[in-house]
Amino acid sequence: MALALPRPRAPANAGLWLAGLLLTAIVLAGAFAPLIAPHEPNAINMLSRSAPPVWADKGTWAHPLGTDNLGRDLLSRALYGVRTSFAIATLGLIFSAVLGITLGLISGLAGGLVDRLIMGLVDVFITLPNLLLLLCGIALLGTEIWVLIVMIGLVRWEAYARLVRGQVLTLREEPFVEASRTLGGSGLRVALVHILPNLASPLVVMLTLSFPLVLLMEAGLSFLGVGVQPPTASLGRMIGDGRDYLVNAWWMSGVPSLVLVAITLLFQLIGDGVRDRIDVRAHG
Amino acid sequence: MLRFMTLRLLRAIATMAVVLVIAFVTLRYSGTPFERMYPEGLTPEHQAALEAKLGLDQPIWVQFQVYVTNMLQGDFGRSLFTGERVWVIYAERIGATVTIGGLALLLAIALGVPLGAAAALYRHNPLTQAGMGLAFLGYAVPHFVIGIALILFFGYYLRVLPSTGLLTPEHYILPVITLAIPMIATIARFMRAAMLDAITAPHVMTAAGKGLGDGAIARAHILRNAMIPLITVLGLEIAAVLNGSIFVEAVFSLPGVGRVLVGAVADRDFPVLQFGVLAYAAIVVAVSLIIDLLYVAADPRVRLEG
Amino acid sequence: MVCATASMCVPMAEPLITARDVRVRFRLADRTIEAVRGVDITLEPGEILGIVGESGSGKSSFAKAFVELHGPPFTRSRTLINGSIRLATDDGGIELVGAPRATMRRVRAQKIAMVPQDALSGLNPLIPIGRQVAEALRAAGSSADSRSILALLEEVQLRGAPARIGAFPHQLSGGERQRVIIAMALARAPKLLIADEPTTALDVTVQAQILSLIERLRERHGTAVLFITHDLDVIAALADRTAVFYAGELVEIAPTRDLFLDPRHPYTRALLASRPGLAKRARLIGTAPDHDATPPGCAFAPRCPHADARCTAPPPTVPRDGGSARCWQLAA
Repeated sequence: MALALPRPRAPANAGLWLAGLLLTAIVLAGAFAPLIAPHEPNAINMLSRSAPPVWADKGTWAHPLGTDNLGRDLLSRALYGVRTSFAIATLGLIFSAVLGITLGLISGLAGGLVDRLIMGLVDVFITLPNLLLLLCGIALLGTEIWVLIVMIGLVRWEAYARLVRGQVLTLREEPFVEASRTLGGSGLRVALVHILPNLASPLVVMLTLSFPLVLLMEAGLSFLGVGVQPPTASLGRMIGDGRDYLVNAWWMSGVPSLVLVAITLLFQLIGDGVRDRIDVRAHG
Repeated sequence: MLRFMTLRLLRAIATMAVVLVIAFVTLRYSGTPFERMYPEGLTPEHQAALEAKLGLDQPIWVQFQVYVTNMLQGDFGRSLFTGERVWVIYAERIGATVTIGGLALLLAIALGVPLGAAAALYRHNPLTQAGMGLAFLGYAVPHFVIGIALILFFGYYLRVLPSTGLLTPEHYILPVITLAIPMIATIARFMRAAMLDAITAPHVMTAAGKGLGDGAIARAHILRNAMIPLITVLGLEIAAVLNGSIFVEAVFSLPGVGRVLVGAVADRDFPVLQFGVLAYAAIVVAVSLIIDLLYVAADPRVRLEG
Repeated sequence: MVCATASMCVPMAEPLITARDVRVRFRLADRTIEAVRGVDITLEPGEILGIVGESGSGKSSFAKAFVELHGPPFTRSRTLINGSIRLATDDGGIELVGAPRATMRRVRAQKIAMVPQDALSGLNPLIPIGRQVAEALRAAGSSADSRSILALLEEVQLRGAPARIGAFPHQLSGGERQRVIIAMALARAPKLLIADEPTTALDVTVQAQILSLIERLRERHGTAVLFITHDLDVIAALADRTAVFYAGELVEIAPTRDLFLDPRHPYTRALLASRPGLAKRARLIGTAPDHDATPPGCAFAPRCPHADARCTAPPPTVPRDGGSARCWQLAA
């Protein structure tokens, strides 16, 4: 008669809300970058090169976060960088989810040889290092933004495929799905009407958890110089460009670094918080 | 057991085969090398002659066969730029990468395992909670940001450590720490979770019931059992070292293979890239195979099966 | 005092265990529940006391209070134990409730051994069984040479013991693992063995073997046994006295034979009547109260066919032959 002791309740979720609010603010700022950015992000101004941020010596409100070695306003570039990074990460994730869900559905519904082939592919993709695949794809196809999106999709699809296949295999045994099949529902119909809606919540959780990873993938590639190409602003690229000016203008790398860290930390906080809350519920 | 290992080996071989095909396709469909070697253009006759000489007029499967045969004989081609043998390029740079990666891995294990274990055993101690908070940070921040932060602080603000190149032993400190921090975080977080699982295992209650002291219970019945799932994580971390070294070498301008790889992508130097991909994949596949073997050796439940 | 065989009774001696008003509470996130609500019990040396009750009746929480084993180590305890549990020893006795950690460790290592419910996972899967037995020997302060280990494994009749000292738990059957756990208990030459549903995970034939093993150990070493189960047939076969728990309280205690032939408390009667295999099997209607919603007075009143107005007040303890029962109906 072991008495199951529920785990202590998750800490007050005010912090979780605050993190959500901050993240929303950053995303909105990025989305409306053209409206709020004080300067044109790519406008070069040699007269105000490497201006420090406003709180440092000689900083001015003309460039609150300073400028880079070409005199471009860092606040504006950071806002546009958030925009670029979120756009690539979002589209890449959507692509990977669509690809993974499709293959997972096919795998789960078709079974047999098709299933084994797709799952074999999943196994291979799990073993392969993501970064390598990304580098190969970029070397082959170039560094256009659509290439980044497609390649990010290609390295992330297996997680969704496994999730969907697993759910399909479970749901297939459910009475309501079986009933639908007995009534002559085709595989596709069963999939669309009964299985996909049931997948919604695990998919949303998975998308949220993988978003920061994808964001960092893009940032990493751009940092290495093989991601988003100049003059388009991207956080990773800005950090990489600033690397050579750390001595005289630390803010060139520092500002985009802080923004990137803030975003990933907020995501991480929210992800952990949400997972703990789900856990608590699962444990009663 | 035998069956498991056979399957495992087959999977490793299949993975390498897919990588080989990917590498071959990357190499062949990246355009002919002539565009690069003769930027001014070629006459059709000259091009045909060159293609015949290099075997590019052969059917694709014949080319693949030649490609694999060459590789098995140790011929991985030459750089499109320098004409250097590809394996020589890597051989010259592998030392830095292995040294920094190895040191970082050792540091990460030496700090991450005790931190995670302590955090699980003393969950309500402010010290371990602070440690895990830091680990949370290290987990969310990418290598290149950590590296830049360390350079700014130790290199330019305190001016105590060099931040570029690998001239002296001090030059290794910041790159190793940068590479280790995310690993410390990952290992600590995982170790903590594995320990918490182990603490609640029924056999721990039996051990406590025997009147063993806390130290003996922690050592023999919790730590030991938590180490087994940790083996898997260590395998993943070796792959993470390979990944991370690409960034760390870029941040600190180190002469390692990661820089070669990125350079090859930027220059579209496909023979060089291709070798890197194959070697990297081979290491990852081999490590995961070794990890599985270690797992089997460490866990009597698996070892003595069948 | 009632004993199974007269030779084992030490008349006029102090009881081995004297438990008074034992209360066990668990602190949860938002409330505290009381699993054991004031139990008085004594246990004589060499006696087998059976405790029966439904799941959640507090029988297991009560027994764990003897050795403070409600939760894993390295975990902030959410258990509060009140009252008094005295263990008689040669040098005057030990109070177990609130005992210092070092004392409790010594009690666990030398005086009171616990055989847990979960025989299948009660042993560390990574350590050979011989070494786990050795740990128990060393903790008890005995020498852990291979002869002593082997002697223990042979005493619990582990088949092929000499060859299996180095075996890992998963190479043993469930019954064999339980034997090893009992061997570890014996390593401490305990005064009291607490067996918490030791056979629930095992199949019936193995169950019988383990029970006869426990009985033989009592005969050979004079170990007292606190045997917790919900299986009335096991109790009938094994226990000298039987205690019936309901909703965290001791409702009736008597020599087993008397209790089974002449149950006094309405709950005991209902429990005995609901045994499977009886020709006229009665159903016990309703469910035991939640820990949160234990009614004032008699906890069984809501399900009791004889309940009346008095039952809203705490029932009196009414003596019966060799024991007692707590019920207003018996007071009349």
